[in-house]
Amino acid sequence: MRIEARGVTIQANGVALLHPLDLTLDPGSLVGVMGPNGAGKTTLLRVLANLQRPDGGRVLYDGVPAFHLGRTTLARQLAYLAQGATVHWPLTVEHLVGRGRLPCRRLWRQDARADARAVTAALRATETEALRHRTLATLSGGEQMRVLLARALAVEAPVLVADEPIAALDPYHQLQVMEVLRETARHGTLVVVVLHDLTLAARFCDRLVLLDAGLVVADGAPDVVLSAANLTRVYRVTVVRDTHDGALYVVPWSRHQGI
Amino acid sequence: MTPATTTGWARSPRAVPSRGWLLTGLALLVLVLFVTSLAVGRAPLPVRQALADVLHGRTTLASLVLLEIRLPRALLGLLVGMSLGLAGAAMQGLLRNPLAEPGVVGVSGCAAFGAVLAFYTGLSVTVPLALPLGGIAGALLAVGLLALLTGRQASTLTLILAGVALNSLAGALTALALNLAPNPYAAVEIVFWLMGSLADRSLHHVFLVLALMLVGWGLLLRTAQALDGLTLGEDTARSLGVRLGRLHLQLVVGTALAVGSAVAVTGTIGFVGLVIPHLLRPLVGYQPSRLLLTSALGGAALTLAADIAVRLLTVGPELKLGVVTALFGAPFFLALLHRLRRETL
Repeated sequence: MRIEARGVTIQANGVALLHPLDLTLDPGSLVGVMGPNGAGKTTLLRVLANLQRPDGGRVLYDGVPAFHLGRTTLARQLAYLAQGATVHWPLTVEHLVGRGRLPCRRLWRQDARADARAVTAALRATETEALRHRTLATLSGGEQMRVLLARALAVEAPVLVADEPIAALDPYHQLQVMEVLRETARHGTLVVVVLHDLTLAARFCDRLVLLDAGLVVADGAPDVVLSAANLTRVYRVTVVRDTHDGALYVVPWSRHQGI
Repeated sequence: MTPATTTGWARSPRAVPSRGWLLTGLALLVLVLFVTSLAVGRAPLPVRQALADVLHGRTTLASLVLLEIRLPRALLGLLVGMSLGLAGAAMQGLLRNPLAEPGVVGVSGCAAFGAVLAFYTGLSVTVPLALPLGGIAGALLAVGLLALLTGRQASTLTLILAGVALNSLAGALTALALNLAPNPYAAVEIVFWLMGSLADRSLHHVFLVLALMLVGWGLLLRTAQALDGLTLGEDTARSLGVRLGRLHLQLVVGTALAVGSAVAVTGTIGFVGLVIPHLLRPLVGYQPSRLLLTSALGGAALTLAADIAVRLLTVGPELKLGVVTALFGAPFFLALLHRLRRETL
């Protein structure tokens, strides 16, 4: 599914969180949303996921406005993984991931076999199959994050929007989750993900959107967006940029003293 | 990003009985208690004889006792208990908090006040069924006020704060009615009624609340999937297609119809809606959707059992049902608080 934001603005208490913003996100791509804290990344994601109504402009899903689609239809089209997700009640991992199948259910009717298949596939993709019968509170932070990602994958929606899914993970699992996201995108899903890790963004994303103070500063291929000038301007850091095996890596090196 | 947190308490999952067995077991328990409730009372009643008389259309003392006294009491115990258990489970699911109970949105308090007003104005003497009708009017008024106060886009917190405000208002108005009671007997009558009881109700009461409760149960049972979605927080629930405004409305109207009408005929019966969902939750693997029907049956079982106990405890005047449930419920509530405190340390 293609998502278009047209002239989207968001304000809170008279302060603009997003300035008029135009963005077209195509299916089958892994799009990274980047920017410093408070740049408007989460706000943009919530607007794209129709969790927050823009104050101006509109968001279109395959050319159709959200209110024409209805919440249930959209729920089957778009999975959302919140930042710092909270889970109430000590559900087992299996039940928790099964929550992702809610949009596919009708009153009194559900396809139990399809649900079980989707849950198992999601657990397998995130390497959490062995945790199936554990409760979330007994898992490590990284395991919890992967289980929550599995919940979002279980929706099997054509769009996956994830807010900082790798922030709590160790390097092994950061790579694993990025591989899962890239693989999901390869199968035709539009994956939009908020990231802070410059190198992982450069290596895995097809496209990056760099935000600063509610404005899109740069938008395009990772090696273009992650230029030293852009990063200095937005993050106020100087970076080390080089290539390894032909792939770009970017390491923040020192705080920029010029600003 | 902060790691995902789990609210509630961490417990190793224990063996969960199959849903079918659990529901069958509870239904059997309710059936046994229902029959026991028919058989137990102050006056000895040959149940088999009474049943035979009823079936053959013979009007005897035994058949009258069964039809006019025991049956309404047992039926109300069943209906009221189911309403309290179901609404309690739904409310705890909405708030994602084991300390919530059906009264939290203020409909029970307003229903009680509506009934007290019927007492106070003397309508309860002149108009038959003025009491329950007053109670139901109070519950529906509470729904209207909640809708006005919270609107469509309100957060769950706003709903609860509005409920707390309504509860205080209803409590104050009830106290005012007591304060201004024309004579001490009227005040005593109001206080006794507020204690909650299933005694001396007729089949008219049953029929009056049955239809309302059925609609209320329907609305509450339909919240199952939305409550499951809410397990993951409000944002994720909305991304899963849950309409929060509609969920709030369903729950408030469902609770008003089910619990409001229960309070209207029986007075306030506390703690059933709090204790039962909490006790049964581990048996359904903590899934809010599975808890609803289970908790309804559990509520019916507890209410019937407490009402049987009330009749078996022959100390002075018959104890009020609400007093007995509170006597058992309050210590349980304290133990719950103690455990919550220990587990958050």
